[in-house]
Amino acid sequence: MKTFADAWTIAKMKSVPDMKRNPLTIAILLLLTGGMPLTFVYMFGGAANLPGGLVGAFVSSAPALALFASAQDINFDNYTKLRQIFVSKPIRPVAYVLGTSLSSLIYSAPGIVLFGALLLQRGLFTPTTALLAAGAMLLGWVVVSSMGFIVSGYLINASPYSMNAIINIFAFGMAYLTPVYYPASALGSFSWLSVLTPISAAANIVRTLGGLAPMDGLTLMSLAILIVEGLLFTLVFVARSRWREE
Amino acid sequence: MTEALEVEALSKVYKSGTQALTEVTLTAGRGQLLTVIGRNGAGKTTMVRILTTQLVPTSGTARVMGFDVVSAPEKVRPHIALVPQEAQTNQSMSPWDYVYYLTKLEGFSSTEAKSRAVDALIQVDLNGLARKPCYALSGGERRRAIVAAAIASNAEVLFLDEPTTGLDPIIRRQIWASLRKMVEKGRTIVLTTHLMEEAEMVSDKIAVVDHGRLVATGTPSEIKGTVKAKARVVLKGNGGDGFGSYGELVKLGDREILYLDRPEDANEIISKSLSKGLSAEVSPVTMEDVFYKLLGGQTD
Repeated sequence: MKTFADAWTIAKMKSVPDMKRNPLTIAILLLLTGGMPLTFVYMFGGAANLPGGLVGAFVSSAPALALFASAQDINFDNYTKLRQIFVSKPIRPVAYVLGTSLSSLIYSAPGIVLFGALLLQRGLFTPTTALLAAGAMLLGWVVVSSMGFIVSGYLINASPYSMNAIINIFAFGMAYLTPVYYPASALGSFSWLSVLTPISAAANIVRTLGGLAPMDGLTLMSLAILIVEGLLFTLVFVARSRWREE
Repeated sequence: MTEALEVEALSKVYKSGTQALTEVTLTAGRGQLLTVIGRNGAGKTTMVRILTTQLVPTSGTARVMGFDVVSAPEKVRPHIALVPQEAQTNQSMSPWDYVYYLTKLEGFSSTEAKSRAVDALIQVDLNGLARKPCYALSGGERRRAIVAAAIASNAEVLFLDEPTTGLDPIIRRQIWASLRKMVEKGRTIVLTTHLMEEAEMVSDKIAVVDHGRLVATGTPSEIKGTVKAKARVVLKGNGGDGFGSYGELVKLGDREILYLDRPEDANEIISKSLSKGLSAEVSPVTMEDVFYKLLGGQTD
């Protein structure tokens, strides 16, 4: 129980003061993670592509920020020595990891609510499919968080500037380059590639749930690979992570 | 009752091959303030990191409040608090946020954590700035917030790695007063510092570390007693070359420090200095002088 309480305290510590004192951060996060690509989808794809774009904005809200939280934030904690303070406290490593991941959910909550509400308003989801869509998005969030933690483990001594650059490249590749805001079918015979990266795999599932894509092998493969990636990356992260230094 | 800190033959060799600590044996009693002094890279921070369960030693043992830091770190952690060297606050957090959240992680209720945060911020004179974001505070004020987080904890042993670096003398003394109050209440403090006046003023016990080895340990008076010189004369203006027979002469640009083997020579030296047109000032040796002499005044 204390582990969950500690995780929640860490999540709030890493998000609430920043959101409270810099409310513009929320607006910027909304614009960058969902608003901007959605605008381009509308401008160049027209209103017909807006539902697909909204799915992208909804699905990428939490996972895109999770990458920043799990990799960049941990790197920043090393830099500011906050991690040293955490290690010397009676808290479990899992509370730190969970708290850091949860902070990205708190940051992305306005985006999830906004884009989720817009999807509901357009009648794409029933309450049941909306819950399943949220589940797919959260699965993507778990996978991306684990990936971020692995990256932070390999680049433990990277400067915050280098880490920022690396994470931005990762985020661009996973949230914007892959079929998140556009359908996987746009890749033609290479549409299978969309199941490999977690955010596009989650988007495949949500598009199917919203009736924007057929329930086919691609959807099922996306779900299977998301689950496998979630387990695999979490295991790699657990095996590699060191709360104490040798 | 066990000592608060028991370190025996502690050694650490980093993967790079750097030998940071060599066979260090040290104790600190409960309710005692132990200050570890040494040059940059002497091994002070490595020692603190091992004792706060962050770093695994290569050999030797270390126990905090009777618990082994290697085999039972989870039992050590509820008893300790840490102010890491060069720690920084998150810019968006206020000192209150920083102290409150870290205190909450000690397992306190929200009400208790809030009350402790307020008390600790008063102790470091930050109560007036408690709700300001750290980006609007000076470096010293941010540093005090980090120290307050350690004060607010319930830890019986506090590890403070250069906590007063960058603080002005007034605030530094306030921190010293807080540290001594905590010691009076039975808490044990392990402090590292480069400020010799601080080591002399607040410590019950001093450990001098050099190149990873313990060079001397004892009360401030005992440490001072380890060097032969008991007084010094500061000469302003070059011209002390003829005073070499009275003791060691150390040149500092256009100033010189003459360490007297026999303090009773002071009057004679002052007379000779004045006749040479030099300004001379006699004082007892300081802890900084002792540090310099203990470590050989090497400049490598």
